[in-house]
Amino acid sequence: MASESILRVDAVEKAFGGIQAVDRCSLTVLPKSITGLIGPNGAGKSTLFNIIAGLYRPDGGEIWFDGTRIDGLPPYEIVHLGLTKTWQIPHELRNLTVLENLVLAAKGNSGEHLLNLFFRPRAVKRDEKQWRARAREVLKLTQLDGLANEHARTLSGGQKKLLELSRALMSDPTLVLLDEPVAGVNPALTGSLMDLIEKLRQSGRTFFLIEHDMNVVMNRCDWVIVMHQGRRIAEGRPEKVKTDPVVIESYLGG
Amino acid sequence: MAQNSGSEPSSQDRVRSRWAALRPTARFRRQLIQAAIFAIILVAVIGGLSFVFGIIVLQYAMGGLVVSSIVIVAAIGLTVLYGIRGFANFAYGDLMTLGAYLALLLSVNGLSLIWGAIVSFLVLAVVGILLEVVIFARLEGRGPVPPIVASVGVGLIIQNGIRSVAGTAEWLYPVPASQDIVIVPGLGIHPVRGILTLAVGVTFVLSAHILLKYTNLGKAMRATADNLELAKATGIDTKRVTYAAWVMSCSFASTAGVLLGLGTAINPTMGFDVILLIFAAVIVGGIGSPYGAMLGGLLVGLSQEMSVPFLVWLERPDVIGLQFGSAYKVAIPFIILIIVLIFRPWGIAGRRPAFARRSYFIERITRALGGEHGAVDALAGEANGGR
Amino acid sequence: MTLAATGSSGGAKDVAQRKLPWSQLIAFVAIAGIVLAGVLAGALAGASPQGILTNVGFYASIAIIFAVLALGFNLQWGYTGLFNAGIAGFYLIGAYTMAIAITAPSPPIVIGGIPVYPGHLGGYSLPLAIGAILAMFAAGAAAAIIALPALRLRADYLAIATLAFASILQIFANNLQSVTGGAIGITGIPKPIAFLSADAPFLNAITIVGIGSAILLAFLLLLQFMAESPWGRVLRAVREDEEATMALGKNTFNYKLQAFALGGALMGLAGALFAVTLGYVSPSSSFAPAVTFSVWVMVIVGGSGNNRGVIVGAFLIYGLEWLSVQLKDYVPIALAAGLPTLHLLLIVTGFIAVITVVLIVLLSRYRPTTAGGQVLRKIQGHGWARTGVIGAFALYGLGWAFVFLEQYKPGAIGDTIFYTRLMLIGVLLIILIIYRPEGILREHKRVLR
Repeated sequence: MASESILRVDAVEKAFGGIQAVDRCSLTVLPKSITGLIGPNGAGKSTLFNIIAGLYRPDGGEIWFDGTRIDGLPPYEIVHLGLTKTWQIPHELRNLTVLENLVLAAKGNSGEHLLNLFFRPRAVKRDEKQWRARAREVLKLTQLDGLANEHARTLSGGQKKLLELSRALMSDPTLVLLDEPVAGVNPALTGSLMDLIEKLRQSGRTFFLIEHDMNVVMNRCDWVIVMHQGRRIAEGRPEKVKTDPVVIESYLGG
Repeated sequence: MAQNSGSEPSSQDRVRSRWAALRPTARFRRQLIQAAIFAIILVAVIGGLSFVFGIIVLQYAMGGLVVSSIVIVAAIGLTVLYGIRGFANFAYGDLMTLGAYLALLLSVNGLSLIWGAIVSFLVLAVVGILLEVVIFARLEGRGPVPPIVASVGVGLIIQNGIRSVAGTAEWLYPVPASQDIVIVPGLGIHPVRGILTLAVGVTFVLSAHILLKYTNLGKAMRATADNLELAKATGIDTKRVTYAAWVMSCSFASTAGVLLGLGTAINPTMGFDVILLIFAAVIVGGIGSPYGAMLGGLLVGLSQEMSVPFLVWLERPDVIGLQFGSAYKVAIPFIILIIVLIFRPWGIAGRRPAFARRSYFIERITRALGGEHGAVDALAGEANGGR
Repeated sequence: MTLAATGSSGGAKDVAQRKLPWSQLIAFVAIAGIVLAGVLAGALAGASPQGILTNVGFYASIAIIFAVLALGFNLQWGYTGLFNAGIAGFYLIGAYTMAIAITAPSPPIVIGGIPVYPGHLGGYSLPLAIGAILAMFAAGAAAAIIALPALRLRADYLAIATLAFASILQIFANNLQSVTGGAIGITGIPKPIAFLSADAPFLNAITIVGIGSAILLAFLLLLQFMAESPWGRVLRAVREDEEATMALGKNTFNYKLQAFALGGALMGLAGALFAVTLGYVSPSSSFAPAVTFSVWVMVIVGGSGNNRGVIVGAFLIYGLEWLSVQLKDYVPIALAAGLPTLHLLLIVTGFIAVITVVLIVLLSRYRPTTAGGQVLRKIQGHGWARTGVIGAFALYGLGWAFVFLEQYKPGAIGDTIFYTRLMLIGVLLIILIIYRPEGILREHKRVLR
């Protein structure tokens, strides 16, 4: 079972100043799936994502990604291993353009290393051109290509979410953690985004997403995991989870 | 296995967790015990040293206590403002200088120094409010750097204003010269520089303690320093608290300045020269905590003065042959400051910030040194540089 | 794209832009005005033309040094968001390293049993270029070492830590006598070209200005290249939001370390230039925190992140300082000798100004389409032009106040102007940080195509 999962969270715990945000949470995500993570507010979902991505260090437990243990690794190493995450509140780089935001998400852009600027200028130019082209492709997929040269601070809330998603796709990740990827995005675009995610899944990627939009969860996720008070309380196919009394209880009581 | 094993949070737990951040009493008790242990260790160390090396250690300790008193008064003022307003006031030293000069101005023109100090106290309180209203209120929410830059500007104005008005010469307070009072042979204390300073220091510490612990304003100030958002949410008038913090900060600065002027001479850079010492005390003790400021001030003052015999020992040619060893005593608090910043940036009385970002470099070092989970988290970058 | 001239007068219009860059023009005019005023003060006091030119050369040299400091700080703060309050420390390291490397050995001097000069380390008499490289290396290495524990700190903690670092260095420089020469410092630092004629100070000044300008230009180009590169982009991202940048897969600590060390190296270079310009180094006010604060003003004025802007900022702010020294030195003499001349000058300028204003107003009313008539509208339209005009009038009034004050209380100006200029820097800091933190000279809008 362990070798089948692409992400395994094993009894992870994290406390902040007396409040136990994640309480010995264990879950697994299967490869090439679109798995949803739901639960009432304050259940610890975003915190768990931050821990998986390496931004917080768990107080206890283990996290395994594709056979490698990643808890304790810094975020940039985790990204290099193929796991990216978007932010629930968009962390766009405000005074940089949309295109710059995306190109920064590139993996292995030789121009980003100081010595290469002087000793390998041709490689620098080549990589930069290549990544800019790829960024434009990604922007086309998320329908942001018209805004490529605008500063990121001028984007609307929904557009910033799209920027988050675009950035996550740039480095060709194996597993993408999406924290409310379509909150604030209009339904038509939501549809095409989820189509895009479906297409990407078919080419081998895994998506693990936190969402409150039940349409998305029900119609698009293969599997749903429910968190409450820092632990997993239920999981299963969407229809089953929707009618699970424990889950309903948590939403009403929480 | 998938079942929920936790219980429903009761309303009591919820209330308790909401007040968890505003929890002075239990922490107080812990801190009081810590302070007591600290004091006992301190006395033991000094006692032991003087037993081994002679009474001269006590003399240096006495000097250290005097320096500490000045530092403590200044540090309490600085830390209160730092905790409530959230920025490092680089003009603090120059505010001390201003206080000293005001008292000088009055005492030279006939008033006794005591009255001079009182008037200076009040004038600086007004200055504090003016600074908040004119400058620092406009810089709210702009991150940690703009107020620092503005405070540097204020400091430059004060320092050079004093220079252009009063000149760069050194002055002395018109107090009658007196001799050290000898307690035991080898241990003397100066009535003004020593006893008066200690007395004033203790008085101010006690007043601060009473203010902060027993008055409503004090409680409001502590709550605001602890957690600004929570304080606002629970209905505390943070504007009033901010003004109170400025008043307290600047008034304490003026008194510290007068004490400093009594101990050394009065010149335009007297305050700025010691500002790093005060910062060291504040950071070592924990920003926002007056009790931390007391401990920090004690530590910083004592370590500076008591390092002198050690430094003099280093001067000996068979050791390193360090020249002018005792001049390095001012570097000792800085070294302590840097060590604290590396390993425990939140100080003695501070708390590890909840959402601390990780420091992978320090983690690697601690892991290499054998500690697995002993990684020290970095201080949270709550506001990045220019935001 | 043309580059701004770094000389002390004249300006460069950016040909690529369609509109006149008012703020840059005004900055250049201000610099020219400052130099002119200094020259005037000297002339009125009866200094020789060569003396005046040497003075101006000194201004240019020190301004270039500050410009290099500002470029270093700009890399640390403007691009990467690292607020360094210990600029003076790296400056000191560079200056002393240079001094130690290139001076001849000087043993301690003891006269009558009293150590008059404690001697200093080194005296390796290395060539200047090697000394400069060593200085950069030493300062950069120091920056890297400090960075390891300090860069993870919050901005205000970093400021305090770097300030402490700079202060410790000053203490060491003062007291580590056999290494640094104590309070006296290291003297007899060789100039780039040894002249023996009476023209020596002047020619040396020119040489230093020449070499300094070349170095400044070279590093400006280098920094622009690095800043526009993908590497520079990561730095900007770190400044915007370090956590987000980490989550994008960048090892932000490495980038911060590199920027900090390179900035430190630049500050070391400035120190090396300073050692050569002055001919001696001592732990005096040249390395005091006031230097750090002045650099802050220069970078804030110039616009953080704007390399060309901070150079102009350096020339402007140091210009004020230089002018104040000139005025302090020459004004008492000049006014005593040239008060009537000054009076005349002011009256004539006022007359001209009044006539110009009247002409402009008349033109814009009756002949609005001519170039002259447009001027008024332009002035009313541009905030900068308005500020410039108001500033000019303020200066004029100040000139009159000046003259009157000196007439009735001779010597007052000379004494206080030294400190009023520092107060002015303080006021500038406050006003700028409240109302215009992005600087006066705008950063180019960066667009990646």
